[in-house]
Amino acid sequence: MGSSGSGRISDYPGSSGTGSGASTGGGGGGSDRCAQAIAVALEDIEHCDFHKAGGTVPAPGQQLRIALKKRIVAETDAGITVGNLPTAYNYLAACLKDGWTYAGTVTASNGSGAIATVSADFAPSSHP
Amino acid sequence: MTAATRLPLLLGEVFIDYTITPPGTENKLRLGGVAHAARGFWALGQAFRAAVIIPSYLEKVTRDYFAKLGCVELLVFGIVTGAPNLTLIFDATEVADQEYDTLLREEKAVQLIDISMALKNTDDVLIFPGAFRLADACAMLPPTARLHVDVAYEVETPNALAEINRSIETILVSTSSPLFAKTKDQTVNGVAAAFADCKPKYVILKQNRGGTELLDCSKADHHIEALPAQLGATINSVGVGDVFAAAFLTALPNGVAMAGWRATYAAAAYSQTTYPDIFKKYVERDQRLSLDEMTSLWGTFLPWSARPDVQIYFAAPDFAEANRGVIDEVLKALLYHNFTPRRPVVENGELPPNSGAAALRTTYEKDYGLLKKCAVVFAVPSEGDPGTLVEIGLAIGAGIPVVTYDPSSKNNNTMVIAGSSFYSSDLDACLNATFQLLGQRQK
Repeated sequence: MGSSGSGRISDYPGSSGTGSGASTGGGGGGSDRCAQAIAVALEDIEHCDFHKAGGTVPAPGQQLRIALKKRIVAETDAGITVGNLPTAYNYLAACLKDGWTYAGTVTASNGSGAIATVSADFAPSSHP
Repeated sequence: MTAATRLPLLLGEVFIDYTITPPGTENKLRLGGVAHAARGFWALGQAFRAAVIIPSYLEKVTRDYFAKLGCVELLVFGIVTGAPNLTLIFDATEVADQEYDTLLREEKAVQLIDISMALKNTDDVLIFPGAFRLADACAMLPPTARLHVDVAYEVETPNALAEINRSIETILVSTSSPLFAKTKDQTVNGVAAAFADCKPKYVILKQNRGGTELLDCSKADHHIEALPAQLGATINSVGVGDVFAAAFLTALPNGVAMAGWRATYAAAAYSQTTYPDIFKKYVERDQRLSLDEMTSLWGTFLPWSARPDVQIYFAAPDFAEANRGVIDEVLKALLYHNFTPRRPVVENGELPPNSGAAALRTTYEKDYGLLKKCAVVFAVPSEGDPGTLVEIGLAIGAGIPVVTYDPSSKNNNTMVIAGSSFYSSDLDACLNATFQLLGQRQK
C-alpha cells in the first residue's frame, strides 16, 4: 500500500514537523508565517508622509522597516511612513507585537507616473 | 456547580476527512466533523466538553485525540452504523465547490443514546447538526442551555430548527451551505428572517473570501458588524467555518464584536496551516491585537449579495471550440463565489473565421466598450491567446486592475507580469487578489 499519510491520525498537538511518521501530508503551512521574507507593492503612497513631504518616493536601495500604526506600514529608519502594506499582510501585526522586527529595501519605485509606486523586499531582522 | 459544568459543550458527529490532493503531494487524513471546532477551542485555550456521534471504530482515537485538545469529558451520544463516517474532499482550497463525498451515506444510520443526565449542568452548547434528529438531541439538553447552532450542513429547512421549539442564541450559516443556497433573500437579514421563529440573538453569515456579517439582534436597534476576511494563501479550508464558530463562542463573554473579530482571525489561521501547533501559535499571537487594532487593520470585505453587481471582465479565449479546461475551471470558481463575470465572447458574439473588417471592427468596439465599464479584468491567456493579451494591455492602459491567471506560466512576460495588478499560476491566489481589489473598491 505504501506510505500516503493515511495510515493513522497524525496531526496530534506536538506532532508538527517531526518526520514522515507524523506527517500532515496533503496539508501544509508548516513554516511560521512570521519567519517568511516577503516582497510587496506598497499601497496608498500619495497619502503617506514621505510623499506628502516632498512629492517623491524613496529610491531603490533605500532601507525601510515594517511598523504597526493603524495599518501595517513601511517606514524609513526615521519613522516616516512610505506606504501601507496590503491587508494580506495583516498577520504581521501580531508578529510585530510578538517581538519580530522586519527590515528591507526598496527594490523599485516611480514617483513620476499617474500613481506613485514603491516595491520593497523585507525579511525578519530579529525575533523573540 | 463545578468549573467543568461551565465549559462549553461541543455536540455533533466526528468524521474522518480525507483530502485528495494533486498527484505528487501527500493526501491529508485527519479527524473531521466537530474535531475542527475542537481544534479551535484548543487553540484559544478553551477547555470544553464534547458529546459526539461516531462509528464505534472511531471511539478510541476520538477519545485520545480530543483529550489532547483539552476536552475534559467526552460523551458518546450516538452510534453510527452502516457507514464509516469518512468524507472525501477534492478541493481543499475551495476555489470552487469542495465536492465533499461522504462514503456510504445512504446506508448510514444513527442510534442516539440518552445522556440527558450527564448534560443536566450544561450552559453553552455549540451544535453541528448531522445525520440525527436535532430535536431529539436538544431534548437531552436542559431548558436553560444556550444553543449556538451552525446550520451550514444537514439542515434542510429553517423548520428543522423551529421544531426544536426553543430559542437559539446564535445561528451560523455559510454561503457555501445548501441551506443558504435555498434562502430567498441571500443577505444576513434574509437569513435572520428565515430563522425568525428561533428568536436568535446573533445571526452570522460567513461569506468565504469576502468576509462575514454578524447581525446582533440582542438590542432593539439591530446592528450588522462587518468582519472582513484576513486572506492569505489557503492551505486547507475544510473546517474553517467550524473554527470560526468555536472562537466566536469562546470570545463571546468579551463582547459580540470582539467575538466576531477573534473568530475571523482564528478562522484565517486555520485555513493557512494544517499543523496544529502552528495554528495554535498563530491564534495565540493574534490574541495580542485589540479590537481597535483589528478594526483599523481591516481586511477584505465583499458581501455575497453585492458580488453579482460587480463588473468583472472575463478576458480569455472563451470560444466554444477552445480548449476549455482552464477556462471552465475559472468560470466555475467565479460563479461559485457569486460573481457574474462579463463574457465578451458570449455577450457580443463569436465571429466565424474570415469575418470581414466591418464585423471585426464592430465586435472589437463592443468588447472594448464592455471592458471599460468593468471594475476588474480577470484574464486567462491560455495558449497565449492574442486577443486576451491585447485585452490585458487595453485594461492596463485604461487604469483597470488586471488579475492574470496563467496556470502554465507560458505568459511570464515582463509586460504581462508587471502590468497586471496580480499575476499567478495559482487560482487560489488569483481569487484572493480579485476579492482584495474589489473589496478595496467597495470600502
